[in-house]
Amino acid sequence: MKLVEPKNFFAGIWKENPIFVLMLGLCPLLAVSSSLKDAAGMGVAFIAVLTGSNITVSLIRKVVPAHIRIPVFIVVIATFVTIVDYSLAAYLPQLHKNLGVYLPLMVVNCILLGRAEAFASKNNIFNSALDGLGMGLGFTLAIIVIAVLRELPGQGTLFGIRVFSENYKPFLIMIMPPGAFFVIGFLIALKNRTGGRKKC
Amino acid sequence: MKRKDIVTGLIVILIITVLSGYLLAQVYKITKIRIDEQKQSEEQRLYKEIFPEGEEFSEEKEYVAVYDGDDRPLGRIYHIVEAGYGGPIVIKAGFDIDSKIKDVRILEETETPGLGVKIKEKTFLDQFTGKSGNMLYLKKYNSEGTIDAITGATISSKAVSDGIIKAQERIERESGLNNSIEATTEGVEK
Amino acid sequence: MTELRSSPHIHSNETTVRIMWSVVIALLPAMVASVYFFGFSALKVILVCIISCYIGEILSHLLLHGRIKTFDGSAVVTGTLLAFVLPPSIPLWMAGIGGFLAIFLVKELFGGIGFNIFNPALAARAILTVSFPLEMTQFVAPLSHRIDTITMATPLGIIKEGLGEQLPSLWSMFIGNKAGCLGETSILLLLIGAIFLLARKIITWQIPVFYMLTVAIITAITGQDPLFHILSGGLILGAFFMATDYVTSPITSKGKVIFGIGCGVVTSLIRLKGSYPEGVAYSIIFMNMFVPLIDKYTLPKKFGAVKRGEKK
Repeated sequence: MKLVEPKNFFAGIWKENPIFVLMLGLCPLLAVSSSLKDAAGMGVAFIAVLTGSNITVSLIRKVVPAHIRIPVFIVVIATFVTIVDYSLAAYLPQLHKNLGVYLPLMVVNCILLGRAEAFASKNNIFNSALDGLGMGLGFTLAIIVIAVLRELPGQGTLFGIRVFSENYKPFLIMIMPPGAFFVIGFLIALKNRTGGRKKC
Repeated sequence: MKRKDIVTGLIVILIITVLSGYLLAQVYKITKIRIDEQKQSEEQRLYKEIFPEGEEFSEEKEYVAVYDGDDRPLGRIYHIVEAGYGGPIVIKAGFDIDSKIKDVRILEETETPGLGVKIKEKTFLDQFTGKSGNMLYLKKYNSEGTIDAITGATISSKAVSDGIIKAQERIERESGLNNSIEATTEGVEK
Repeated sequence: MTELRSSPHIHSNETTVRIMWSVVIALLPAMVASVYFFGFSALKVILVCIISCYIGEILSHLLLHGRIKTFDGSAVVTGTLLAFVLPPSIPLWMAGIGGFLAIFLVKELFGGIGFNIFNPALAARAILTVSFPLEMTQFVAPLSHRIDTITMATPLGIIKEGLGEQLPSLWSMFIGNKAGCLGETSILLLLIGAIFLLARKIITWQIPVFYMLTVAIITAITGQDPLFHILSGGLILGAFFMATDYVTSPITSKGKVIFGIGCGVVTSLIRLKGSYPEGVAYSIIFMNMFVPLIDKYTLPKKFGAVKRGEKK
């Protein structure tokens, strides 16, 4: 593989989208997609952690013996998650409060560990960074789309700004957990239909 | 597994954890100051919202005592946790020196969106202001009660009212302390 | 017919269409009662539910199959049953959303008639309850549409809130003179419809009888009036018309007994301990999930099959 391969960046956004195709990391997706603001914050935090951990894992891939790689990956991921956690608490306390437990829970997120194992530990730094950015962006786009489809009918607002009139009766189920499942189900069905997924 | 593999593995993981620990310690040092400031200013802002004329807020064992600029006591702020419909509701209730409600704020709740969460709205919370005794009950549950429950969210409304009444009972139990506050303010008021 | 076919060989003359129209006929008396007690707005809610169910059916057939399949009348049954479990004062557009979701989301997306896991009318009611909690929990007093519509708590609501309001007498609860969902109030007329269905062998007795019996026993043990609990809320409607739904209830008699008892336990738990005053809808949906499991353990053994581990 070449030193820099742009397709690594685009894979995560559509063809190998971590949510709609790989179906990883659904837990934070379900939990914080009820408002666009939190979803966007989660997405940015996710990109930061994923890119950071991918670069670091790729950097140390040659010195880490294979039999202890998983604990090393987890230490690396946990370090980045904690840095992001502290920074948000210090500079964006409201967002930190809204994301709650789902921010530290990123440590055990399958996308992070999955990309470290499947990609970063086998590829050079630049490609790993691209992969992290792409996958992170894919996650962010997915969570933003879901948040729009939940916040708009569920509260009549976007980014907390009123879109529908005051008289709009919010369809509350959309901002509750079942709403997240409905939206994800419909979006995956739609993606399978347009993406021409192979029949099993 | 060979003995050499175990040793190298141990060394690598040791180095990485030490490095990450050092890095985190540095980040912690930088951010801690800000985090503490945030926490403090958030609480102070909340206290100030409840007692706009309060200047000094000192943490006591069970409550926060409020003083004005001349060190005269203005009242107390109680921290109350009451079981709501969807989980605990965390309430901060300010009482003035006559144990009348100064103002109420909801810190945390997990009530039903669009229904129980309305306990955070001013229209509901303002009902408590200036009231004491049985007036703090919901109209439904006490003939002297003056608080209108939120339509369709009786349990959430009742939790807030119950919590405030409990705090008031606590004040009455500590009447010894209460008298001392009154004693010091009597001269000022009359 | 002389062609060779695999089992089952026993055929009944009942077709889906015939069953559906029998259910509609059985629901007619209660429908009349709802219009008598809650006025023409009740009729409007029923019509909106049926129409929106048809819209859901047509749309889902077009989207999922690319053509309109023949109607089997199940949309009328689902629509009527959904209307029966909605408050009479519900805004019509909400009823419309409910009807559409009942067919589209709960039934057709799971594979259409015969494949849905949950009772469509009840699942749609659950979605509406979560989405519009205010409108779904406000009930109007019976017969008040003639003068001025007033809100009133349901008998179970009065007990749950502990407000000490006057409970209606058991007799007026029996004939339907009480606040509640549109079609659940008149026990008398619901029972007439239920007897019709039983006589035509469209439903069997196990589920309703064990359902009501369980509720009666549990409420009696906890010191409440069992008769009051049977006559209040949607128990009769749910037990005879919804828990007995072919697709979402067990096949064997033994399974039906288990299903009925399960519904009764969950309903009593919600009524006595839960935060909602009424639990019939949720208990039936809850037990719907166990139907495949119940069927698995109660289906009779195949003739000639050898138990695993047994020597031939």
